[in-house]
Amino acid sequence: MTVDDTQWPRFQVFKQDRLDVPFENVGSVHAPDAEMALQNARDVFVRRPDCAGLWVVPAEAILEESGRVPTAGGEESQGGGTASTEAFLVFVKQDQSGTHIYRGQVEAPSPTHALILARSSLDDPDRPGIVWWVCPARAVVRSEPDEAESMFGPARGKLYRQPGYYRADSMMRAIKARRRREQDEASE
Amino acid sequence: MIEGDTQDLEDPQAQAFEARIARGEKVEPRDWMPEAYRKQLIRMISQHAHSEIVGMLPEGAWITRAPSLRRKLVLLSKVQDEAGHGEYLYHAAETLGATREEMIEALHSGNAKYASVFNYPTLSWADIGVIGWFVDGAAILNQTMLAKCSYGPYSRAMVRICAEESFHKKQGQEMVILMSGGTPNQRQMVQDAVNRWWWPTLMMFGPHDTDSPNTPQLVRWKIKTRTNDELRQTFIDQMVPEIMVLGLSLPDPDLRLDEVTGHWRHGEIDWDEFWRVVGGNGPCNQDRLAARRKAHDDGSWVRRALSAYAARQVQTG
Repeated sequence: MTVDDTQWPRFQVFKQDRLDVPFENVGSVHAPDAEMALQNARDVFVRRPDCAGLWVVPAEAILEESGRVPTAGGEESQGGGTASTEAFLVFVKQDQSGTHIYRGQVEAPSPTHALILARSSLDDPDRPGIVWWVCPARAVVRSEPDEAESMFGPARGKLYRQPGYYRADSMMRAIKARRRREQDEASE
Repeated sequence: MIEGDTQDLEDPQAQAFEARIARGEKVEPRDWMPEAYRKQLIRMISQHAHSEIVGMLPEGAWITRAPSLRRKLVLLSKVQDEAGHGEYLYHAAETLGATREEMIEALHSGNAKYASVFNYPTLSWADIGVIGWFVDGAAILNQTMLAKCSYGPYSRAMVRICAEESFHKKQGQEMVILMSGGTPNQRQMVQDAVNRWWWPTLMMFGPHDTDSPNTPQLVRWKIKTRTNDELRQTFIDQMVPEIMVLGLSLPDPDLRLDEVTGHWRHGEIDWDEFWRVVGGNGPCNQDRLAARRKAHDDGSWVRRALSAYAARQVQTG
């Protein structure tokens, strides 16, 4: 390999299939900045219809917690009462085979506090979260609703990307039926 | 025994991990996992990613020569999907600590493996139909199994890939059906493609179970749920009757239906050929790597321009 082989920082990508369902994590892309990350996310994750919006977040801006409940401790919490707070987005994986789905926002002085708050205020007792992600709201770059049609519309017209566009199954059934008829006639 | 699989089974962390797997839980990136589990997954997922990326080359060669606009659109979007699927899989490997730079370097230097089937040439348009039906059909069987894999990010990538790839197989099968019912030239062309791709496709499932020492551990960890030979048998049983009903033959004089079990039995696979191709000495290995390296180097100015733009945006605020 020769020149400039960096693959750039990683951005986590969240996709909303329809306006009435929450954003969910679909994977990540590499990009030099958030604007290109959004463009790459569109190319990588929206080759099919069903996209109403995309968010990208620098991977290092996400704090993850699974299993044990984090406890507020150490220096970070000592000034907790007076420190200024900011908004954090909360994502949670609820099903073993599922992914991280947007749950809501909390106001907290630090990512660790945001995790504790999220788990105490946003958990569903019937389906407790398995893995929690939080990231500062200011780290999220969102696709523009005005540009949704030009970003996500083209995928809707490409019907040849759906298996139902092809006649392979019905042609196969017809050929098999013809072969059976031929065999029946030959044996009569 | 898998390299690195030396952790003490008395270790409570290892025991808890095995219990989680047994309960059917999915492992997430930050969870504790045995080093051998991590290593096996990085190996499998990065090879899988490389296969998607190199897999663009044999079919990409026919985009400019597709016989109609419809076929060109279909082939373009299939090849574009493979690029996206490579991205999904590199992402899954990165969650385990592998970097994109390391993986790309391993591919370009010839140290990484990828599916050996992509080291064969595409000699005629009929190859595009047969690859879609055979090669994608075989890949879908393997990937449907991997969608149930115990590692969360790999399993989620597989679910998305399986959903998108179903059209890849259908478009290929449709082409083979149409050509097998076409002119004598078309029938001859598609038969020739079947003859050349059948054995490389059977080899895609990997060595026999008796020569696949990692399989029992991978099955125990629920990374795989079926063995190479089981998947190969399912593929043969699905494909043989369909190929025969089209009036096409398969290049295996020993192929026969076992009346007792209902399974189709294939003749001996040429494993010398398999290991030769895996070892870098197939018909197209050098061409494939040269094409990858050239694409990477030719894209260098784009990466430099984007980096310069991003740096200036930061400077000027």
